Amino acid sequence: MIARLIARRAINLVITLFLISLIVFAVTQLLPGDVAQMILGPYATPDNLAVLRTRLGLDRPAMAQYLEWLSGFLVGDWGPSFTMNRPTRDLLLPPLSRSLELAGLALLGVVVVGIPLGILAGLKENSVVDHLISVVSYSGISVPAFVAGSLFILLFAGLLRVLPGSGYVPISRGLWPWLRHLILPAATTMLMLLDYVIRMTRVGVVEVMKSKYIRTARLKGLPLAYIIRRHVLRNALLPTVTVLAMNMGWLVGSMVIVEMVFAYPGIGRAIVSAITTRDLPVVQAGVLLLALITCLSTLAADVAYAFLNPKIRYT
Amino acid sequence: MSGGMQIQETAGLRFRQRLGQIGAELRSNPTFLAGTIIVLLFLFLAAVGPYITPHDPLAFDFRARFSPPSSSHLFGTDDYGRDVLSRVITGARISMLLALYSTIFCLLVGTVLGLIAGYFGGWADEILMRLMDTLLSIPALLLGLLIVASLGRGLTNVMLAVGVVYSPRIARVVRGQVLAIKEEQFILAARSQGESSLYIMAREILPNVAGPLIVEASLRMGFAILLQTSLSFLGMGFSPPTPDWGLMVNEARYFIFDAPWTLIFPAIAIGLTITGFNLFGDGIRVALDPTRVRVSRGEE
Repeated sequence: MIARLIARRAINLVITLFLISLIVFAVTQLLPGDVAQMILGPYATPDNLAVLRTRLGLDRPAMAQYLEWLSGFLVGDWGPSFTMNRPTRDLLLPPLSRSLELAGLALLGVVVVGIPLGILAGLKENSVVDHLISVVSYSGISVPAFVAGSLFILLFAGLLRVLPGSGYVPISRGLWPWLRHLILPAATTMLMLLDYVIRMTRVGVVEVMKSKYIRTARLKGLPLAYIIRRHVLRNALLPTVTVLAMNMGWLVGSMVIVEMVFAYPGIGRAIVSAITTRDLPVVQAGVLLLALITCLSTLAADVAYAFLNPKIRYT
Repeated sequence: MSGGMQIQETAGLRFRQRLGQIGAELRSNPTFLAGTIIVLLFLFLAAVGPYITPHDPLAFDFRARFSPPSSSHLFGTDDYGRDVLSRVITGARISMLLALYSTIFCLLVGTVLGLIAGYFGGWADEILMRLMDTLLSIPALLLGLLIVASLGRGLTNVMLAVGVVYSPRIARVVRGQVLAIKEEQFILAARSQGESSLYIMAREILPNVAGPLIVEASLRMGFAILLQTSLSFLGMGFSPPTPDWGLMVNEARYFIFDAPWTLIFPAIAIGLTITGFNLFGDGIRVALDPTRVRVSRGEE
């Protein structure tokens, strides 16, 4: 059953990725502005432009360019960047790993902060605490990441001067310098998911607390802390954890704006700057890479959910 | 004949009763009322903005650069000495128009695609939904960026970008609703009567998916502003000196420590508008379907 599910989803995944590659390639072909002109500047001679176009393969039919690009991408040869004299891989993979660091830390923060708050709100349903948590987390999603991030910079880097407002330091130069630079971007990223996680957890807890087995456990006289640990958490957290896993790819893609606000050298920022300089290989490979991560994390979460929850095994 | 009339009347009566219930529910929902007040305030600013600004939103005044908030400039001035309050007020129109246009766009496109996919099923469904999944697996902001980058900046193109990004979500909602009611008696009856597919979709199915569509549309407005201001913030929305909120926050970043008011006021306007639409949409959702729990997410 699960093998069939995975096979079916894998086929869909391949189709989706193929379509994405088509869309991305088509859209990048539409980008206005001549790449050769962008690289050589406004005073380039027509001869030089023609030579460069031939060298970049821009003079060949779009279909041939697409096929060559796709087959190259599949075997890991993403070609050279148009504007930087380096392979596309080197411009995308290190930023991707930095983005994953940021996403991982934000996800950890969401779990550490969001799940306890969600449990608290669920246990004290409709109390002042519940409403307070809901208002605070709600305002978190109503403020766009670039607004929240800018305000964080203003407060923590400007007024309080306790945290750096931009940049990145590799972990090899020490845990604290690395972490210091990650705190504000990670907190901003957290805001995007926090409300969702708190709500999911809260609803899960509220539903489980109303169930008969919890009533039985309470009537048996078991201590509340034990019931929460043994019964409530196990049943209430499954959907939350699945949703988090499913959102990993989405998270990496949505960090574009956070990376721009904090000048964080991640993959989103790499793609945005490649869009502005018309560095097509970087844009194409970058977007396809992010879509691949999104699809794979959704697939992984679906399969994990099917394993964990026998009710959902679809045929 | 008279029997038919009677049935129609009771159905009409029931509909009016339901509307009354929804109205009562909405009136007693404080978050919906708060949301409505905020939305109305910004709609008002969008409508009369240019006539009530204390200063010209585009006028430079180099003697008054970076004035802190004062009685002559309530929100202070920016790096060109332009009045921030006037720019925030004028900016309401761009954001509101954009939210409205792009929501209408994705409602139209999403509803048509969702109806076709759900009603005909089979290959049409397979192809359309694959395409929707594809668009959904590209991060929203990146897809928007790519579209605006290839079409160019400006109101129409940003509207198109936001519309394309959010259409698949509407299509999914509509398709799900269609699948849920497709085998109902009244659809089968219409089909056996020989009604055309177009008629069945427009007259029998569409009214039954209207509820979820209204909810979706009211929530989309907030998301549309979120995406639009984010695009502007990245320099992919409008060109300076357009008084657009996202662009204002972007320009203010360079003077953030010296003139925080240039950042704070447009930021508040953005947050407040999105909150307003979210509260408004959630209120409608709860009123139309009290059993459902809110599950909206930041950038969905």
